[in-house]
Amino acid sequence: MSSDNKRVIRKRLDTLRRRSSPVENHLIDEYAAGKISRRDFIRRGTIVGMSLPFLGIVVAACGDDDGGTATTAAGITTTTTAASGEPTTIRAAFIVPARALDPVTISDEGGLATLGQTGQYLTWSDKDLNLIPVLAESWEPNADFTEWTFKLRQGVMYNDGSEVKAADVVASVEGVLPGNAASAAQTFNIAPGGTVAVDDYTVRFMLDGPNGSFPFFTSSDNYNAAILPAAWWQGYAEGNYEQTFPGTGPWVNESFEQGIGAVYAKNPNYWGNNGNQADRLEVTFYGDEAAAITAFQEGRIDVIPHISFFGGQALIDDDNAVKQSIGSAQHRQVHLATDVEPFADARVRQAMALMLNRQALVDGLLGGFGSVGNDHPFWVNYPTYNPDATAQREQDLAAAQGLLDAAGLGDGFEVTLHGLTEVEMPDLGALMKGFAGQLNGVVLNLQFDDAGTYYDQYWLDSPIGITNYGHRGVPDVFLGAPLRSDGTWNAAHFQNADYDALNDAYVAAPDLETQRQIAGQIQQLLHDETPMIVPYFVDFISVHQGNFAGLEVTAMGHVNLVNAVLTG
Amino acid sequence: MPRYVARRIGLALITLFLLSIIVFVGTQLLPGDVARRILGPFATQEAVDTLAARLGTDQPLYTQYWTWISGAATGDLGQSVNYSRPVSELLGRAIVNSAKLGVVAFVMVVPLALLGGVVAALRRGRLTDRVITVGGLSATVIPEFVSGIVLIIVFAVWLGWFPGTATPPEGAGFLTQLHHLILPAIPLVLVLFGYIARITRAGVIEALDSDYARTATLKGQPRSRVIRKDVLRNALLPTIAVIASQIGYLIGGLVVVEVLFNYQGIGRLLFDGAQNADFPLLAGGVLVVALAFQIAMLLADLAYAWLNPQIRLGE
Repeated sequence: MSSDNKRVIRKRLDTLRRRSSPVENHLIDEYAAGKISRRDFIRRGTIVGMSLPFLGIVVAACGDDDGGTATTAAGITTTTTAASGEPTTIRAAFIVPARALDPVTISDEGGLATLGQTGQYLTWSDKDLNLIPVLAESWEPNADFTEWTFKLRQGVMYNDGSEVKAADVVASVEGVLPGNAASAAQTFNIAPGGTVAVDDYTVRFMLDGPNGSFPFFTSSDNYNAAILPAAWWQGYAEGNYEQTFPGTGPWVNESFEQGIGAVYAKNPNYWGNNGNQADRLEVTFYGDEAAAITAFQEGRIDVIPHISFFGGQALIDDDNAVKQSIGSAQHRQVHLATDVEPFADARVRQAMALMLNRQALVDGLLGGFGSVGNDHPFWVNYPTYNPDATAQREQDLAAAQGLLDAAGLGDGFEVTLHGLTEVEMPDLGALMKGFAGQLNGVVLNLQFDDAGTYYDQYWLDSPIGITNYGHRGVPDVFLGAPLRSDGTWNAAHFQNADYDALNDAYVAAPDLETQRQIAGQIQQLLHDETPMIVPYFVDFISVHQGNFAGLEVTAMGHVNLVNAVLTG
Repeated sequence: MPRYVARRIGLALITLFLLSIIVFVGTQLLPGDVARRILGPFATQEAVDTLAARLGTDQPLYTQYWTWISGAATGDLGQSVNYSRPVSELLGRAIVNSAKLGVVAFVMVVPLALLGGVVAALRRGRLTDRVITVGGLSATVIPEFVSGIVLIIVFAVWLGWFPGTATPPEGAGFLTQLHHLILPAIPLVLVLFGYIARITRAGVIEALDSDYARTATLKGQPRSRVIRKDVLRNALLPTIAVIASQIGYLIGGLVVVEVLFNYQGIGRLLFDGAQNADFPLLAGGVLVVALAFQIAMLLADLAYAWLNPQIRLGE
């Protein structure tokens, strides 16, 4: 870039800074001072409502203009295809939705992936943790982050012909708030009545408390928060979404059979950039991963957006299948009940954490499709993760034995490890039993049950157990219910006033630097107290045929096929 | 005969009633709270209580049973809690699918097994007999998920002769549907062949050794006529009962095959119901399978009685 161009950009930046909020200017200062990386600047900037063009100007003005993530007019990141093939039919294999498609009650990957073909959100939490505008064009908080105001994109039409208005957002948020009949929706941190239509294209969220990451709650991360017409909500009945499939998405549903599949046609009135979109999308639901894999090998399926390493070995080893994986915050938590012997003593909990060879677990159980954890839920790719807070915990059997000796348990103990009979978790339990066997007299008996039994009987009432936590774009959910003294998912029965105060401060922190500094304290506290072991984070693996391109997924299981093409 | 029929129908109704109690109690033994299972571990307790009240699972067991069985008696099997649709609607489609698969398997296995059993009996003690008997029994003990996977890999993935799914494309014609159902039917044929062939073989051997067959032979009747007129007619009586008893299996026991071949039949639906604690779906499905089984057994008994005067006259 020439010096003249830089001068022009800096001038534009100065102009834009005068119009920016204190929060935005603070973030720019942090970036200009080199306190945060370009990636973190973009991620945090998208959260506080700075537009991508503006972020690009700031990056360029700071002399760091080597390009970035391209975005479409739709605001969703695009994948460049090698060659634009003849638009045709894309055949995808989805996990069968566990129940009727209903924005209020979906809580499974198959359900949210299917809903996402027609329904869209205010924002999109992409695989790189950027918050991308979708139905919302921009947003900004008030000074103390207790109110967020969203401007809607104008002229976006539902597939029933009506336009997206602020009243729809209010109806959609109110519709999924906890307290609504049978709602399993995640909380927005908003009380009923806290969402207000300022005008047709402006919505204000008045929160129960300050929250610097609130826009993520309006995103695809909060999969119940699809924006649907207010008129549809007036006639809402559980399960009736499947009758009309309203939404603003790139596909219009043509047919849907529970347990079997769905067929979609290209939405002719789609508001976003869909120049490469195929004419049709055929989704086949699979209850069994093996059936999807054989269909793929037969050539009846173009893409499987998500397979596990555990069940998808046949395709992972298949040279004809193109694999792509993205990092994710999905992790296994091994809770250690802090009020039950033998784990009431923090030294025993630390010993349990020290016995693990985490890299061996990642290699053996995940085939390398994962990353090691460090006994706190901060995934290393979170912008708020503090790399300087704690050293990576490595296997140290001598230190573990020393801690047990100091705790008076040098001769060991016997305890039952509970867990879920899902994916690789029973194998993790077996390997933990093996690691424990290297310590003097430590015996882990294994009891693994189906989800119903585990969650009903053992999850919150066992000395040690393995639970699966899915991906989130921000760690707020992981830091709340599973760890707070009053947390409803607090399997470790962790009671720590210091932690609660840190969590409050983290959620309300206005800027990234503060949040990262508090995150460091949380990491250190959890490392010392070890109410949970986080052995590893699990990557999200997709496979597709060699002639397929254009898949975009998120680690939550959202599937965007608007740019999917077949070549050759 | 009318008294025999009335007694068999009465017994079938009593069996269904007892079975309904067993089904109801059995589904109550599913681990975990139904509402909690449906909404997931992370739903609020308030939402769980609301759903429990709506589903009626907070009521006493006898109240829940009465509500369910009185509805079932009028054809109302309730609403699936997972799919938010009438259970009868879901079961109706699934039964049709399973029946298609069952019919294809039946059409393949019955003639094959009868022929195999008769040939084995006629070649008693020879190599042909051993091949059919040992081969049939060996095939019977191969689990469907093993034979199914092998068939898919060989005939769908490698050779590409058959699709590896039982679900045909939307609007598929008869031949396309048949093409999709042949591969999934083979594991069922393998399971049933040895059993039916062995029963047939035993019946034919017994008939061949009987006095009337020996008398017919000594009177100079050609062997083929003796087999056709005297042996088979008597030998196949017990086989009819055995074949009928497999109808229940073919309607409700296809879980593995339907999951493996991604087919939305009643077996997979029951599997989903059990997995998701969808009590109305699971209980309704089991009841319908039991009803189908009872009807099949009743028809078999009636056919048996009609063919065998000893039974209807011995009442």
